[in-house]
Formats: sequence, structure tokens, C-alpha cells
Amino acid sequence: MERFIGNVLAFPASPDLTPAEYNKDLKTLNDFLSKLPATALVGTRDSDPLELLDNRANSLGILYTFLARLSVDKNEIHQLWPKLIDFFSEFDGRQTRLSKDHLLAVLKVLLQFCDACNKPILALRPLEHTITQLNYPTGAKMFSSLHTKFVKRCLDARSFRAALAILDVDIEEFPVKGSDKDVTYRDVLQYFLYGSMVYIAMKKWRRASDFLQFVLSYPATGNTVSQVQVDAFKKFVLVTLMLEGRNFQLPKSIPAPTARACRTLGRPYEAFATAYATGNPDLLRREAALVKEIFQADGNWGIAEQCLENFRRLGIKALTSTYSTLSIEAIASRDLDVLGSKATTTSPEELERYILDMIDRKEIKASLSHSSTTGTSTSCMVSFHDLPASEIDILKDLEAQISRTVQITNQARQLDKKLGLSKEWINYTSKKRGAAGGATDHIDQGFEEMDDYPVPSRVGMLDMAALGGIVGGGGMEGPGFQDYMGQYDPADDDMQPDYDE
Amino acid sequence: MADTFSMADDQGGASSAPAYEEYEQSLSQQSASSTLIIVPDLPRFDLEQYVGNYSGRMKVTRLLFIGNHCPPLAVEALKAAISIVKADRDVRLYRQAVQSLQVFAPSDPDARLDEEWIEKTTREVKQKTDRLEAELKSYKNNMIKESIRIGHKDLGDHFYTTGDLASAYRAFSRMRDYCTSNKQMLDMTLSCILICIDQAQYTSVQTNVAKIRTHMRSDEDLKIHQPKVNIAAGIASLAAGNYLEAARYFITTSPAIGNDYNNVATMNDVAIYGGLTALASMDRNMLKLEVLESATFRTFLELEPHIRRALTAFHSSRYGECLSILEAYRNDYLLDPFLQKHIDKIYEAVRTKSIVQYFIPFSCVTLDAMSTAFGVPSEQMEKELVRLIEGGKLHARIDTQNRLVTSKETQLRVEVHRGTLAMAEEYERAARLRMLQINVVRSGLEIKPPKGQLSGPGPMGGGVLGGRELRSMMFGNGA
Repeated sequence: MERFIGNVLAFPASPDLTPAEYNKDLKTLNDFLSKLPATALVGTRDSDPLELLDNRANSLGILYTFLARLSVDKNEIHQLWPKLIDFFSEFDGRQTRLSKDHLLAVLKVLLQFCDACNKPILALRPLEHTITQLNYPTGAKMFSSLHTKFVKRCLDARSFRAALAILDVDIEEFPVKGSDKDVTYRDVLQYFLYGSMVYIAMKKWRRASDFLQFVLSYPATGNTVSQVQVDAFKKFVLVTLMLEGRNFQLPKSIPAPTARACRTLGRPYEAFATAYATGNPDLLRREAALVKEIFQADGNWGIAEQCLENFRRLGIKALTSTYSTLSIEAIASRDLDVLGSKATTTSPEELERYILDMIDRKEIKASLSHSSTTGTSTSCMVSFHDLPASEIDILKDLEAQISRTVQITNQARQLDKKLGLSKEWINYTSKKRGAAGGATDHIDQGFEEMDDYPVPSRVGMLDMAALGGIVGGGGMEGPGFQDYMGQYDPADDDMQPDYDE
Repeated sequence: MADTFSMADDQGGASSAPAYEEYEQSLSQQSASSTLIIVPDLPRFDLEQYVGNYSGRMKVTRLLFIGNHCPPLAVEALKAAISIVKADRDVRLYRQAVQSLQVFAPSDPDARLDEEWIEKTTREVKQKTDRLEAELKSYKNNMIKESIRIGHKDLGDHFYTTGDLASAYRAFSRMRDYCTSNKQMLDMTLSCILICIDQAQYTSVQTNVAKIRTHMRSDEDLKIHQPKVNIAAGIASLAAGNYLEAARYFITTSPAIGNDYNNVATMNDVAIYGGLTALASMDRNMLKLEVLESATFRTFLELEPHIRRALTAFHSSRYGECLSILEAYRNDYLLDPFLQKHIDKIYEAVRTKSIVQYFIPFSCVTLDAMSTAFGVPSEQMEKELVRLIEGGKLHARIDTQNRLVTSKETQLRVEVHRGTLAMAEEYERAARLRMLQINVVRSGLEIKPPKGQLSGPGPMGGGVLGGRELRSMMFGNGA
């Protein structure tokens, strides 16, 4: 018992170990702990390891203690759960990465407990921290089954903001083939669907649309289509209407079988979108009444209502490009409010408030002027102005976009390199070479050349346009490059990745 | 044109009554009817002289067309038409012409169907058809190519003059197999084109034009046939609403055509069609370079000086003048079988272009100034402008308070920046999406069919996509 505490406390011998030394010590400690009997780990009343050890500094020791206690008595979770939550919100992923299975097992018990108490919100913080620590050092960028569980619980707990910490990190990796039995395509699809729902709730339409688009264009073997995709399609139609307004059309990246299935099953949605695109308020009202029940059953009526609300905004926005001044009465007579019925035309006063609201939200730039009172009624003129475009702001955006583009281009090149070294590609090229009698493969050569492409240190402003069209046009080697390549040995595609060893 | 002939077909048989009623109805509700355009005023041309320019079937076609669409000239036109169709022994057109005439001049001696003549002619025509068919049969038995060709040709000509256009077309197309020389081929295709124009089947005109192009080999052929082919192609493009293409065909037509193609269009027609389609589709520079300075088209334009004036007015930015010239000749063009259906669209296009061009030098114009320049009340002008702005054709905004039209300030720099930003964002999104897809495939996480009906590749589904497919996923669609 004392030896256990001592060893655990002694673990990081000094804060500035090299990664190699750190790994060696960690392995020794892990071996030592896994051989200890459960009784030694449980501790006694006066020397409770959970009291003696620190969640962060001695994560591995604490993990083994929890494991031992829960294996001795399953019901101890009722006492342990506050400590477990603290532990999972603080632990150090570097220490636990050799005992991932134990970690997940303990976490599973905690999650089951939270579910049993019907308090999903308790699990959020532990899950979030675990996701970032689980696949050290890639963190949340590597997809895991926890991602789906986390977002699902965020939705259950209706704490959308909490979900953003994970959702905002773009997934860049999926577990290597066969390494993680927990992750299925359903988890991935669900993660992205739930994620889009969080973004819809937060009104981040663009991001929601990206997530849904990924679900829709998810690769499949054969003509298989997932029900999740059909649900995603329904939401996608509405989100696109929110984003693009009247120009609705499906992106081309959706595979034909998926598109066909979605269109058949989501016909009311497409009809709604078509009615929306005509810009005819009567038609839209009729269509909305028709589809309302279906949408409500699907849980999508909320977004549809927002689309209908947006219809008036779009209508008023469109006016700004046609008129520079227009009277409120003229706008009111245009029948843009599709939420109400046609008979109840909006009063000029209400419309005035509405336009003021739009100005406040910076959706349009306009000013209102009341002319002199003639008799009892006042007439109000709206003057529309161009939205101001500050060049400095745009340049700032452009700079940010440039660095993101460079980053993504680098990722694309690395991925290309990996693909170039993958078994399938090598088999393919060697077969081809064999067939062509040893002639060099020009496709292969083309990519080789691209890798040797002169790399400018910083992409100039004018190159931006060119970058939009080509992949691998140039960029800089990011600082994370070595790490990234180090954890993955591209020669063995099927092997479990070995970290810094 | 189209309805002329559909009418002709309808009324040829016993079921002439419904079509006739329809016609009468449209006369009684002139304003409500959109199917039949009626020109109530006299056109500017002299009928006799106008029709005298045409030859062959086109003469009858035009006369009937004017008769059906222009009441003031109807009696004169229809009477002339009746005398021609009687000579041609075209029973169908005769019936139609007489019925039209009955509406305008019921008491005229010509307005009664000459049953005796119809019976006699039908018999004669039938006899001739039988005789020609018998001859053709005997030629076929003799297996002499040239005779068979001539047999088909005689039959086709006979059908054509007597008004059975479908049979005529069939007879002419059968000649194809028996044509031995290039010239015969050209003649045959030209006849086909002519029939198609008469039948108002403009897509067939286009296919035949494409066919004939492959047969024009020598310079001689080119010189003789090019103008005809150009006119035919131009008329087909005009009918399809492709004004720019039509304009180019008409403008490049050689004036050497003279009166050779009067059974379709006179040189005056070429000038009018070419001028109008060019006005509708070209901007000022193109008009100057391709139309006004064209050496070939100048000859045509001299025949129709007002078209020339309209073109010049448009080019020198006197849009109001241009539009009023066109307006003055509207009736004439409405009585042209090829132009009638398009004249509104063409005028509309010219008008739109005029407004857009008019506005270019200004940053701010009063609505009243514009409405005087284009000669319409300012409310109508405003509606027109709103339509143009909403259609994205005019970059301007309307100030309803001060009744001004102001041009939109375009900040090119900002626009370019925004465009770049949007493009880069689009690229980023597409690239991310592709990479995610590739990673999914690499990890073997594709959607798989339910276990029961697994066919083919088995659990290593990822192996289906070879390296090449993965790479092409990434680079193929311009990620």
C-alpha cells in the first residue's frame, strides 16, 4: 500500500523529462500498477489514496484506485460519483494513455450512473475533458465514440453552448481501421447530425449546413443509404433556405443513390423549398399549411418557422437593392409577412418597429424619417443605404482566411502523402507498372512534382484567387507537422498507431 | 405562320366548324384574345407591291396571313390569295381562304365555296397523284436510280403545289437514297428546308441546314447556296428566340441572293430581320462593327432605310428616336409571319437595352427625364425600372421620395475582396469535406448494407476504393 502511494507520487521524477524518459517511467509505473492486487489499491479508511493523491499530478494512480474500488463493489459509485466527476474533469491524458481501456471502463460506469439519475448535464464536463485528453496529443481532432455520447448529452441537457467546445474543433482523423471497435459509421453520422442540431439551436447556420452536408455526402458501399442521412436531408433543406434564401439547390457532392432516397422520403421538404424559392407569399402560405404536420412530426417545424420569418427579412433586404427611399406604406402593401394570413396586413407602425429592429441587427442600413404631419396620419419614409464596407475589416478577414487556407492545403498534402504510401495505392501503381512494362506512372510523377513545389514562406494576397482553384498550390510547413507525422507510421496502414516511442 | 397552317389542316377536313367558331370568337373579343393578333390599322406598305415581291407558296402564305390578321386589307388580300390557290389547285388553302373571306365580305362572289371546282380539282389532283405514283412504281421496277429520283421529285413537286406538305416532305426525303451527285443532294435538301419553313417546323429546318453544310464542297456551291442556307438558318434561329445567332446569319448573308429566294424572304425581309434581331441582341459597339460597317449588309440596309435610321439612332444614343421609328413600323412587322410572335419580345429587348445604355453615363436621373426620353408616363417608367433592377439588368436604385434614379456605387476593390473571401471559404469547406470523406474510407467506416444482404466485398469494404479512387476523390472535383 505504501509502496503503491510512494511509487505513484514519485512518478514524474522531474518536470523536465524528455518524452522518451517520460514514456519509459510511465511504462514501468503502469506495469507495476497493473500487477498490484485490487485490495492493495483500495486503501484503508485512514489512508485513502483518493485523498492522498492529486487528480492531475497522479492521474494514473487515481484511475487504478477507482478501478479497484468499483471492481470490489459496484454500488460504491453512489459515493464515488462526485470524485469521479472531478477526476474526469481534471486528469492528465499523458499518464492514462497506456491504460485507455481502463479509463473508458470507469467512464462508462460514471455515464451509466448519470443516465440512471437522469442528469445528463453531470456528464458533460467529464466527457469534454476526456475527449480532449483521450487521444493525446491530437485531442478532440481524433474522432471517438465519446464525441457522439457527448453531443447527445448536450442535446439532452439542452446546454448547447457547452457542446461548442468540442464541436468547434474540426474532426481531422478517424480511428485507424479495426483499432476501435466502439466506433461505427452510425456514431460518426449521429455525431454530425447532433452537431448540426446544436448549431441550428445556436443559429449558426453555416456550420450546421457544413455538418449536414458531410452527413449527406458520407461515403457508402454500394447503394446503401442511412436513415440518419434522410433526417439530415430534411434539416439540410431548411438550413439552406435560412442561409441562401431564395436560391435553393442541392449541392452536387451528394452521391446519386443518397440524393434519390432523400428526395423520395423528404418530398414535402423539397416542395416547401420550391414554394419558398418562387417568392410568392400566397403559394408559400399554402404550402406551409400543407406540410406543417409532417414537419412537426419530424421535429423540424421550428426551423421552418424561422425560414418563414426570414422571408420578410429577405423581402425587405431585396428592396434595399431596388429602392433608395420608399414609404413605409409602400413596404407594408407588399405582403411579405407569410407567418400571418393575408387578410391581416401589417400596420405601418408595426412594420416600422420591424425595420428598426433589422437596422439594429445590422441586417440593413437605413434611416427612417417622419415627414410633417398631414392631417391625422404621418407618413414615414425609409431611406436605404449601402452596407458600409470597411476595407480594413475585409483585409483582416482575408488574412485569417489565408492562414486557414494554407493550413488546409497543408493538411491536404499530408493526406495525399499518406494516401500515396497506403497499401491500396502502392498495389495499384505497382500493378500498373507491371502491366506497362516498368514505364513510369505519370500520375504518380505528377504528385511527386507537386510535393517538390517551391514553397513560398507566405502566400501573397494575389495568390489567394489562384489558391481557390488548386490544391497543393503552396504553403508553409506548420509547427505541428512533425508531431502529426510522428504519431502515424504511413507504411503500415492497418497497424495501431504508436505514439512517440 | 404556325396557326395559319394548323388552321389549314383543321379546316381541310369535315371538322371545319370548331376552328371557324374559334376564329369568329377571337374577332369579337379582340382585346381578350392573346392567341390571334389583329392589326386594326393599315400598315405602311402597299399590298400589291408587297406581295408582288414574293413568289411561290410564300405569296399565298403572306396573303392569307395578312387576310387573317389585318381586317382593313383582308378582302383584297384574301381575294388575291383565292385566285392564286385556284390556279395552284390547292383545295385546302382554298377552303380556308374562302372561309376567312366570308367573315369580312360575306356578299362577295368569291366568298362562296365553289363546290364544283373543289370536286373537279380534287379529282384531278388525285388522278395526277395516281399517275405519278404509278410512274414511280415502274421506275422502281426498272431499277434506274436517276429515274426513281425524278419520279420522287415530280411527286414531291406535285404534292407541294397542291398543298400536301407532309407528303411532299416525305417524297423529297426519299430522294436522298437516289441522289448521285452533290448538286442533286443540295437541291433535294433545299427543297426540304423550304417545306419545313412552310410548315413552320423550325427544328427540322435547323437539322436540314446542318445536313446541307456538309454537302457544300466547292466554292461555286458556296456562292450559290450559302445565302439561302443563311436565311433559312436565320429564320430558324429567330423562331427559336435566339436573336444574336439569327442576327449573325442575316448580317452575313450575301447580297448576291437578289430575288432568288423570294419564295421565303425578300432582300427587304433580310434587312428587317437582320436589323431587328441585331438591335435586340447587340450592344452599341457590336452594332457598329458588325452591322453598320458590314459591307455585305449595307446593301440590304439601303432597301429599308428606316431600319438603318433606327440602327444609327441607337448607336448614337438617341434611344427615343430609335424606339419611335420601330414603333411606327410595328404594324408592318406584326403582319410578317416570321416576326409576328417575336416582335413584342424584340421590342422589349431593344427597350431594355436602351434604358440600360441610356443610364450608363448618368449617376442620377430624374424619373421624369427618363419618362420623357422614352415617351411613357412616369408610373409606367418606374414599374419598368423596378423590373429591370430586380432582374439584375440595371444597376440603379429608385428614390421614390425625390423621384430620382440613382446609380449604385460599385466598390470594385471591396467586391473583389468579398469575392475572393467567398471563394476561399468555399474552397476551405470543400477541402475539409473531401478530407473527411477520405478519412472515413481510410478508417473503413463507410455505410454498409445490413449484414443479411452483404454482397461482394465483405468486411474489408474500404478495399473497394483503390488508392486511385481515394486520390481522385480528393483532386477530382476541384476540391
